[in-house]
Amino acid sequence: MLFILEDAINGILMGSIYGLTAMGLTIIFGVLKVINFAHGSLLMIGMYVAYWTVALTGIHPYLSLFIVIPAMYLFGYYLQDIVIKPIFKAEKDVREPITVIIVTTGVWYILDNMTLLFFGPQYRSIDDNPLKGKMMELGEIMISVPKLWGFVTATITAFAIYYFLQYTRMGRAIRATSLDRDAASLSGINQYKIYNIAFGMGTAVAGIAAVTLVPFYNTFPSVGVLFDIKGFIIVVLGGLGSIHGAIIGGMIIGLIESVGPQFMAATWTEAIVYGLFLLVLFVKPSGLFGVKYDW
Amino acid sequence: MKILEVRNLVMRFGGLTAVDSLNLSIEPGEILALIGPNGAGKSTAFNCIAGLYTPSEGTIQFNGLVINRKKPWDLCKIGLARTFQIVKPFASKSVLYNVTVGAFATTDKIDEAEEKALAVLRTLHFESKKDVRAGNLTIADRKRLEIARALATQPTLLLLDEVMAGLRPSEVDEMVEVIQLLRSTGITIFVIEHIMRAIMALSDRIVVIQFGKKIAEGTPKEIASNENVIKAYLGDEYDAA
Amino acid sequence: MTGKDIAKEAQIQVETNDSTLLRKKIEKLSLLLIAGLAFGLPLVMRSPTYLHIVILIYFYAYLTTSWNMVGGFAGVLPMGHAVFIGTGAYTSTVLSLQYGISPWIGMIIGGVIATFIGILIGLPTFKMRGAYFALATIAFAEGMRVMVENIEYLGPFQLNGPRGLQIPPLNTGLSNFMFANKEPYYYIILVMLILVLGITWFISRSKLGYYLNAGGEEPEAAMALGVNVSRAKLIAMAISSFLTALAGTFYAQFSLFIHPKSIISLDLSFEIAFIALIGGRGSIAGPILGALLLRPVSDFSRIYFGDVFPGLHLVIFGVVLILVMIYQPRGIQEPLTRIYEKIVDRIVAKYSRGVTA
Repeated sequence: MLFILEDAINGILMGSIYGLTAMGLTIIFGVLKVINFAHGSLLMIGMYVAYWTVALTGIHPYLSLFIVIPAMYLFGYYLQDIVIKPIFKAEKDVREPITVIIVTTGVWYILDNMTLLFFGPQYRSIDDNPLKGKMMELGEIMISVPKLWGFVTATITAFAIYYFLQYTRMGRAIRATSLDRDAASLSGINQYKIYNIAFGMGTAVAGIAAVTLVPFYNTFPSVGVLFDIKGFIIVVLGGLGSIHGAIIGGMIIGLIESVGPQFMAATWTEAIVYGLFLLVLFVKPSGLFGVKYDW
Repeated sequence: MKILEVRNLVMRFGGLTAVDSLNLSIEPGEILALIGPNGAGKSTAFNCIAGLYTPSEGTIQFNGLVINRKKPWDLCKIGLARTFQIVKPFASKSVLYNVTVGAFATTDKIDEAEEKALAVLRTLHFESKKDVRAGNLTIADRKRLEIARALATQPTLLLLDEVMAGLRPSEVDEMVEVIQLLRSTGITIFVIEHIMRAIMALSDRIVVIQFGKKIAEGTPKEIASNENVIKAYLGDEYDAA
Repeated sequence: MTGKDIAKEAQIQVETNDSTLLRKKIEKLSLLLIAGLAFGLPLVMRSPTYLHIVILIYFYAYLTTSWNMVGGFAGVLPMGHAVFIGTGAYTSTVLSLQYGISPWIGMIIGGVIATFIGILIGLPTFKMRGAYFALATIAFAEGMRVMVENIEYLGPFQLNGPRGLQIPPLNTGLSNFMFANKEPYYYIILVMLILVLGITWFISRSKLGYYLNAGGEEPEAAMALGVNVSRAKLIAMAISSFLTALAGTFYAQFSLFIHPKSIISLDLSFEIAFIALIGGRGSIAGPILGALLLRPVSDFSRIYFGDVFPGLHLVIFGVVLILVMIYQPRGIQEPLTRIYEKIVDRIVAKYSRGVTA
């Protein structure tokens, strides 16, 4: 029984990091109404930035946030401004920006393969960091310290973003654009600037997720794909566009992944995740936390 | 028998009641207008009738058949068509293509559908523009296309949602002629409109709603002199003056 | 209208009729020319390597055309069509290896299974924003790949997990869908491609085609005009899944080796979508032009840079995709069609001048 509890706790902690990845996805979707298929690649870029910062300077992994967050924000901001915006403009009167979705896939391929070219396929990890492999004893239960840090970071990030969107002027402008981009631009909001900012934010959140991963996870060019697919499942589970839905959806996935193998082969655990995804699509397509899909 | 009969229609969104116990009915061949200030619930009522929303309460009967839970495409097939206030042309396609989509409601064969579409375009004096891309049309022509498409589905009742909004006075006159022409072919027409001049010229009867509730009903003449209506449009200060 | 006007009008009418007739003739001639070239190619091109490349061009053109029924006409974005390729390939291969059933029959069975999967994905998602469909397809495809990679036996069927299935080249012959040289494969995929193009052409000129286009562009307006949008999309999805699975069997028989990474991979799903968008989504010529342009890029970059830079062709695809989407959102078929039409115009003009002179 204790095993299961231990697995469950560690699974939820890991799941909150999945949720953090999904949160960036959900922010970008909420405003641009576009699934950013390159999101896993952005996470991967964030991991490389964090990895090299820590590897070269030897600072505590979490201190790299001060470099990763602004770097990733700017990267996302200009990625949207230079690559994605022109396509939005070319397809202005199209209701569903399908070409934009597929262009993010193009970005995914470019980023992953360029990284492969520059850094090679090897796995990189920071072996002498203060968090690596650390365990905390809670009674008889062992809890992974780096995952606990990730959990705390994810929670803080979720609250910070919620506060930002609810109570700041810029946050309100972003919400207005997400509700009705035409009305928002009529009231003097620069729609494309908001897109840039939202994309920057989503990318920065991917960067935060990257920093939480680097202490205990390997960095390699295709690492993003693993989190990408999970992120997609999580956002559908939690409701596309819902911030807390992303975190809780992430925890559910983490829980299934960690507890499942106690009862069955790991493959079937994976199958359960996909099955749950399909089930939600059929039964409650707007996700468990009921954001109406057309907001 | 009434062609459309709405009884105690209520539509709530969360805590907001957009339409409140609305009653109205239309005789075959009639032109009925629904008017009211902005936000009075006209479009909501329309969307309930057209199957876009499922009403919270009440019944809607079309030719005696309850249609509360019917989908828009099913309504279209039994003869209830509509236009949209914000026109939605299939922008990348030609005018003829647009209208042919509507004509497919009554046939499965492409030649027949195109034939029917052309006939509709001819009736509306729109044939010369059949090959123009819908995205390149002027506002007036887009509104006309909106009507042409709906007409191609061969409706017995046509719901027109502000087809004159944004038109120049001369274009409004043309549109009034078009609507009268439609009526003369036996189609019953239910309009939402803001342009009073057109409504007075067109309608047989007018229903006025405010805050989702009916406040008056009658011939254009009766409505023009109805005190409640004047108050609703000019505000309560009118009383004090 | 005076008599003179009527006469003039009639004259114009006759002339336009003449030139449209001529146009149709030119169209027919160029189609015949292309078909003749396609059928005669193996007589001239004797190198198996080049023939192999051309076969793959047709194969991708076929896949993209099948994809186009959903991704192009229905206006949604399938990102996991490899699921259907994999379903087709695995079904026919397992049936022929374990039960000795001809791949031709397995091909049809695979198609039917794929149709069910397509409907399973489409049923809940077509009622929602396109993003959900894109997500569901990609998640389903990845889920399927992970499953197959980890399964040795699915009930009585041996899948061999990540090692995949090898088809021993023993009994060649038409009924076994196996040949010693490339030419028969060439003609099979060519005929398949022509058939799928024919189906697409037929659909685009049918009620279903009109309904798909209308529902893809303005779903609300389409519904008001009697279009059950999600049902139309579902039908398109069923057809597309079925046709895509057939290509899976072809690929299995052509390469005689399938494994999850090659046949249910995201790379394959995305490559199809990229070809469609670069070529021109929703047009009949787009997938062919896209495959003609991009496949050689991919083959040659694999041949020459495969060791140094394995992902090069996908980087090129990505860059080309972004550029094309910015400058030609309707794909390269649009400017090419314009050029073709200009040429036809010139021929028509020359011809009619010759007649009047």
